[in-house]
Amino acid sequence: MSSALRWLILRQIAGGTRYRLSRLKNPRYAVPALLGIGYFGLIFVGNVFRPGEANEARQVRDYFHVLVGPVFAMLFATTWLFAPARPAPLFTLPDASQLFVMPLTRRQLLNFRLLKAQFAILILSMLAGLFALRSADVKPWFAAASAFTLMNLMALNAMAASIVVNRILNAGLTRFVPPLPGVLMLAVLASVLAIQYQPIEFGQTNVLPWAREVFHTGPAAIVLWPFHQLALLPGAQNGADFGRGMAAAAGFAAVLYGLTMMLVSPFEERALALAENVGKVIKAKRGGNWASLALEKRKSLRSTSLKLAPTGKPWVAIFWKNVVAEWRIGTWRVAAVVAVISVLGVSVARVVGVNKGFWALVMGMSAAFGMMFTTFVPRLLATGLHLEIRRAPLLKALPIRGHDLLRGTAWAGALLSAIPLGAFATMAGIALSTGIEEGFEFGPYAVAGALPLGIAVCGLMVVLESGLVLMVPAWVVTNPGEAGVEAVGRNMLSFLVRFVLGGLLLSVPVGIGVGVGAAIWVAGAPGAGLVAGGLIAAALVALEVELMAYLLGIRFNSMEPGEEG
Amino acid sequence: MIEVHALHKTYETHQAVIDLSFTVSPGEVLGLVGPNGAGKTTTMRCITGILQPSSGHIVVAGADVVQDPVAAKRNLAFIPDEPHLFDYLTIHEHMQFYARVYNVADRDARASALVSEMELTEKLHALPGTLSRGMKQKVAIACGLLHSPKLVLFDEPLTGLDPIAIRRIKQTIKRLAAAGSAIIISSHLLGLVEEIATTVLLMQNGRKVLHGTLAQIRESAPDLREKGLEEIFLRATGYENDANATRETQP
Repeated sequence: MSSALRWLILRQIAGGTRYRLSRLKNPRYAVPALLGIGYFGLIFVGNVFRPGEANEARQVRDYFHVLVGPVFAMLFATTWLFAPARPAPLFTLPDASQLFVMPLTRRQLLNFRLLKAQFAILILSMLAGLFALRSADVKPWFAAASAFTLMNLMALNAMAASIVVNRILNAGLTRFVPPLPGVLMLAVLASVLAIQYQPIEFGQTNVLPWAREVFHTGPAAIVLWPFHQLALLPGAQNGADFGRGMAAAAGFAAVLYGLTMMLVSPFEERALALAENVGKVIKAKRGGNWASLALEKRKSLRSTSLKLAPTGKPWVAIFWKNVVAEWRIGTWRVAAVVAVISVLGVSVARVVGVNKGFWALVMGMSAAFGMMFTTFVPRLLATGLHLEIRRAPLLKALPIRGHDLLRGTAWAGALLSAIPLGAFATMAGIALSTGIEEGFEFGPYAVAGALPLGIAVCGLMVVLESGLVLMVPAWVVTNPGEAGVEAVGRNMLSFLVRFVLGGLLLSVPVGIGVGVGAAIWVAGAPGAGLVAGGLIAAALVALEVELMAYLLGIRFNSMEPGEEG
Repeated sequence: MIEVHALHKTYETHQAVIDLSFTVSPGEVLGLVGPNGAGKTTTMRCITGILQPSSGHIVVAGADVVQDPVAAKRNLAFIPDEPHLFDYLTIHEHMQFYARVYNVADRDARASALVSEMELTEKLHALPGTLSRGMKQKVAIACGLLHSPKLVLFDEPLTGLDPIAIRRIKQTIKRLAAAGSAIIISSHLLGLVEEIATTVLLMQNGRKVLHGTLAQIRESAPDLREKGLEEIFLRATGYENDANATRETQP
């Protein structure tokens, strides 16, 4: 690779590190950084002084060895399947716009791209090594080296796939052919696994022998052999496992790198288009509330049937603007599709008939994901105030009050969250009435009670997060373009506030709802009790949302436009 | 210095550039003008090797851009309309990087002269994030000119610049041409093109509409003899006729 490109990478790392360190003099960066460092410290320092049990490690190693190989195979194949959506290596906009016109060969550019990722991969690998300290048997150095190797292989695989697809497109084969390599890979995997498929009793059968039978015998053993060797790396406890894994990785790397360098053809046009697209997305995200406007310029953006035609009160305008913008960005559309597929899948399982273990799994996962979703919904919003407040001067120039802004934002988040929450509640309801408590006919009532409460809680979470942004913007406002320990700290800060304040604010409404619901249940109408309890709690939480929006809106009204810096 | 022969560029079904041929000699300043979507940026990007021509040839300083892109790129510089600089490299480091890539022999002396010419001396150790758009544009120009390119392509070079900087950049372009570089300037500022271009190429819908010196163009249409580039542009693109027709139909 060109020595100038190596110099560029080192200078950028040094410059970035220097810049991040120097800005820690400012409390707005120092406080989140301290929180982030504290968080990692709590995770890793404990590992250093309190190593885990040896038998735990052995079990982990067995699971890794048996199950990780097929996962790697799937990851590799799906990367190739989706490569047509990214038919060129991903460069940043400054890289693409400057390096592509310089006298550099395409191979030099590809090597630059691979080398540039090494610093981030190295940091993540060191974290993996620190994490391995918890195990008595897994060697931290093995874990770090394995993580480093595997992440590089993933990057190399993605690059090889994009280069092959680019070559296919350059040959004029734009229809059907580009996804073919990925389809073939997945077809081979599906075929060998179908041949050896055996039914499993969830919750009653030990997964390990079952997986060993399916993945490690017959044709699957042959097809997946290289991936099984790679799977020795993550939990490597001895030199033999590590050596075999590294040898397999070297083989993979040689094939993928060779393929990339051999098949490289002009990719600048597509790479620049990708870089510009990514640049637009980052710019749109930084713009927060105006993301939809910037995204409209993307060719791939589809129009939505949701029309931006707010009339009447200002908070309704904010509400509709947020709903339309979020819908356009696409995250919620994907969530809606996933929700519908999940509910359909569970419904089919109900008709087909599966065992109790499966329903316990559905119930547990629905509850866990539902709670996680409710907690993190404010951070999922591209139109959330943690992004939007950067536009405070523009917001202040609009004829809206803080109350309108918070009200519109909170209820838009609540409405959007209804689709995934509805799916989680429905799946939990089906699991509850089908497999957990046979004869329990109140599943639909439980869903009818839980769903409005969940939606109101999402609104509360959004308003709490927005309130925190208004009170201490310097500590909470995030910039999606900048990852790092400070972003972790900021997320933790907002999470803590939502967790503590949210818990306090929910205690009274939920307490009243449970009390009323229980009274009706005892009076002989269990279904009505479930619905009434949920609705009462939801209504009280909604009142709290309104009250919080009003109080925190006063802060927005008194805010100086440039206060968020 | 640059020869473009029968250049075609098609995006899927859209023909962005159609059968475009022209040459720019050393010392010549070509003003590339045309309405939005005329194919100017596509032409510039094909010349710089970012886009692959669908057909045709582009030769820069004797090297074919498709067959021998590295040799061709060694002799050119492209100053885009939107400068995207490296986030964590100072201005000084940008200059150092360009000097390394192009293997500039007297890098310190040349960098110092360009930094001074672009009035960047005080910002030498600043990161791009702290600079205005105009300053970034100046950095991009300074970096692009460091290796004394034989062909310089400017895409809207004056966007975001203050009047003093505009004067500077115009002087720089004239100096480059006088030193023997071939220059292509794509701009909507017809006054700028009229002032510093020696030849003009007007494109519309991917095709060449007019090409030549302003005098030659005026010669070709007697009623345009006393007209400026703006009138020529409006007439050639059909806007003026359309506007007249619209006026005539209005009550």
